[in-house]
Amino acid sequence: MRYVVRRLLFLFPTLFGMLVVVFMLLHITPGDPVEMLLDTDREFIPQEQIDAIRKDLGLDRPLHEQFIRYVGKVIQGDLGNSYRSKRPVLEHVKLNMVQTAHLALAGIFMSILIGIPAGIISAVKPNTIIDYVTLTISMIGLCAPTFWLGILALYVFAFQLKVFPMMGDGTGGGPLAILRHLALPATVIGAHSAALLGRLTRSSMLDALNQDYIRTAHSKGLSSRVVVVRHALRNAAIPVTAAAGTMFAYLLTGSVVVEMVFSRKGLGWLMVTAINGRDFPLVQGLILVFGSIIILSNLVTDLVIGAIDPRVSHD
Amino acid sequence: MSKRFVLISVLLIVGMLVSGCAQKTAAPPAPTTAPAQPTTAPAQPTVAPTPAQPKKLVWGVAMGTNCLDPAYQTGLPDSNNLVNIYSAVVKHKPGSLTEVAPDLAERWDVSPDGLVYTFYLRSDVKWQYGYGDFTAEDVKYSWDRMLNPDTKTTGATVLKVINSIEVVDKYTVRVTLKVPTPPFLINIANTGGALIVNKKAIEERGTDYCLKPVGTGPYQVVKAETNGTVVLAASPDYFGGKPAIDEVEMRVIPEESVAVMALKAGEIDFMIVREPANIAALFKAGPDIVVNGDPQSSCSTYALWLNNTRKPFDDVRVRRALTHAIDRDTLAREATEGLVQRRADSPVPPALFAYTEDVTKYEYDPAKAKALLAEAGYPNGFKITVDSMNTAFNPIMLTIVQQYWKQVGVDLEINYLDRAAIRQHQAEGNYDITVSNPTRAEVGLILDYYKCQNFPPGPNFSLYKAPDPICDLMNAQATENDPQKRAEMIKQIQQQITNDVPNVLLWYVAEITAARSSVKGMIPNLGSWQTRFYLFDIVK
Repeated sequence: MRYVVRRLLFLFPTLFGMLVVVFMLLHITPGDPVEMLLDTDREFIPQEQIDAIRKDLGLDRPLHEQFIRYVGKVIQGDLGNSYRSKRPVLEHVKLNMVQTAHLALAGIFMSILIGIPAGIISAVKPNTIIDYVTLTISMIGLCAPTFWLGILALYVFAFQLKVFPMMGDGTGGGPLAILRHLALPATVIGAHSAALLGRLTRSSMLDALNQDYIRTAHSKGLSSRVVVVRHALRNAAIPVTAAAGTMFAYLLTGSVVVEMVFSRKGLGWLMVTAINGRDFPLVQGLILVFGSIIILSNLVTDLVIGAIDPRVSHD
Repeated sequence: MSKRFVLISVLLIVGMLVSGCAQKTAAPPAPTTAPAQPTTAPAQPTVAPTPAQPKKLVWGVAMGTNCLDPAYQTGLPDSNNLVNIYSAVVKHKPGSLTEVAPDLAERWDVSPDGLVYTFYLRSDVKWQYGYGDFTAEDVKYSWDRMLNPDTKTTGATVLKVINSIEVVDKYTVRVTLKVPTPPFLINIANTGGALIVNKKAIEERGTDYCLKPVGTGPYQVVKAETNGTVVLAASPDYFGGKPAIDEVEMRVIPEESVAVMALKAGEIDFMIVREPANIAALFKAGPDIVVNGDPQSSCSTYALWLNNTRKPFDDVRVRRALTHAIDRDTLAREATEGLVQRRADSPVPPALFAYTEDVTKYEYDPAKAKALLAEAGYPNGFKITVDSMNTAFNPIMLTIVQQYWKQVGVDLEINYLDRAAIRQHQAEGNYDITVSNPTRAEVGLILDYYKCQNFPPGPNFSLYKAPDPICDLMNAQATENDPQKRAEMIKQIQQQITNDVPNVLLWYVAEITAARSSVKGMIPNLGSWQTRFYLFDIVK
């Protein structure tokens, strides 16, 4: 428990550091948020009007002052308002969080569903035709860009075969609609992780299968299924769990591309529009959200590893 | 012991998170939109020819909406919805870029000196959602609001010529300008910021107004989401009668190639196309898809803006050489998949007032280009950089231009930047060459891109310094009341600009849209940021 509290306390300096970096990057990168607000009329807007908008957004103040004000508000739980929509950043996050959570969880589910059995099969029958086939498929999964895979999946399964919907996230259509809308994007976003997990499961299973205790188990007369599942897999699961935890971070960043290709609402897509529009409060708010999720998921992974591996202790 | 406890609590937390998510989605606020899942077109057996079938149009766009308030609109999704929700005092005559038609004003007088505009307003206009009758007070409120610095609007600069607005009686409003402005009516017809809003609704709805606007237009907002969709329904109160299409849904599709698939599959009916590869794909899509992009209705000139204050572009011979070096007819055809056949010769698009063909023309002549470069002291050419976004026609156009210029010894380096970075560079005048297609439905505003005083910050992207008499003429035409005299002045300006070639004019950019062939009544008007859905119909 003390460990958990300590790790949670670490959250704050990490997030603060991230915020400093993002804040600096946003101000270094060329692109002026006020310029992006002015639309078709932008060349014709008199300087006084631009200055007034800049002042209204607080962008006329010195950088350190802007930063201190922002952090002060964040500590009070106020992430500010989006420059473009004038709505609170938290409202944006709330409106888009559920869809991304669905996508990431379904993505993990798909990668485990595909990756781990594939890894076990190739480990149990190494250097056979099955092993080579899974190797080839996972290489494709690892190398194919998510964007390309997504467009391809859309073209085949939504446009030609019409078995899955082409766009949207099914919100408002009930759980079944949500699942139907998740099938393609979750597979695409999970493909990379599935390939990784598969390779990792294979090597750690091979490792485990060559250990003395496996030979002992075999010689005790246990069936090979029991040996594989109960003895080898349990030990092989430790590195795999560690990897699955970090994959969550990958899935979140992958959501940027997948949400755009599948026209889903979500935090990734929101991040893209926020960066394109130089909507500083929205970018900073989303970085905080992404950062917290990744840090928390790492913590959860560590706890799970501690639970399945008696050698790891957190105290 | 403690480990098992940790494991269980972790599982519990995950379980709670998952069930929390499930609960949230199980109870959506209000199922206003139909789930997007008509996987097969429901046209075949079930739909009998029932006349009462409501007509629905779905259009795809790459971004979500931000704010449906004329004062704070930003981006195409906003402006396209605005012209369908609100009415203007006058609007464009459909299909014309130079004539206006009545909207909220039935008729109007202009004083002989061009300073006083009296609008006689309709007396049968009602605000949506029961906000009462529309009166002259609403016009005064709307425009005063845009002119008030405290509003901090992001647009509506064309209203700045207004000196005062006076309510004469309930349905008459008198507007006095600071200087005579012949295109005043056209400008207010063009500008989203000049649309008329309701004071009570804006004050009552406060920060919610962006997503819950109230207008007097043909459609009212049923549902609008921040950074998301907008669903419009025909307004029962509209004075112009019920539009043919009952419901218009905007669907956000960030990837244009996905929108193309959706259009082909019939999931959407209408979209705006920007990428040449997608234009090509839509042309090949068969009789179900119609691609529109008539350059005759363009109010936009696509150009390479050479920075005239930097070497070597300070020498007019170099600018002429670079124009001669490109076969711009071929360039336009190749880059636009044949939608545009001809180059631009004048900075003013043909659909606008006082366009003339009688300007200096630059034919494709690489030998002459080389000779001009040698004369200017660059016999071996030079190396130069262009700043551009890598969207729409820019990549293909720049790649072709690069090849043409290479043949006369000019080495073009292409520097792709995102929109925000390009805008900042343009505001600072910090580039050798920048790419832009100023889109303005009034000739005076097109000329603003060449005015001497409009150096950065301002629209004169070439930092072009016209001869003094022409500078004066550019200012004078803006207040010239006699149309014939004004046309003569604008012709002279076009001739001077084409003589000085501050920029390399490429072609007149048509706004390209694609639709299912069942969508009728699309009038090429003002480009895609003012798509008027009330003029559309769907005939299956």
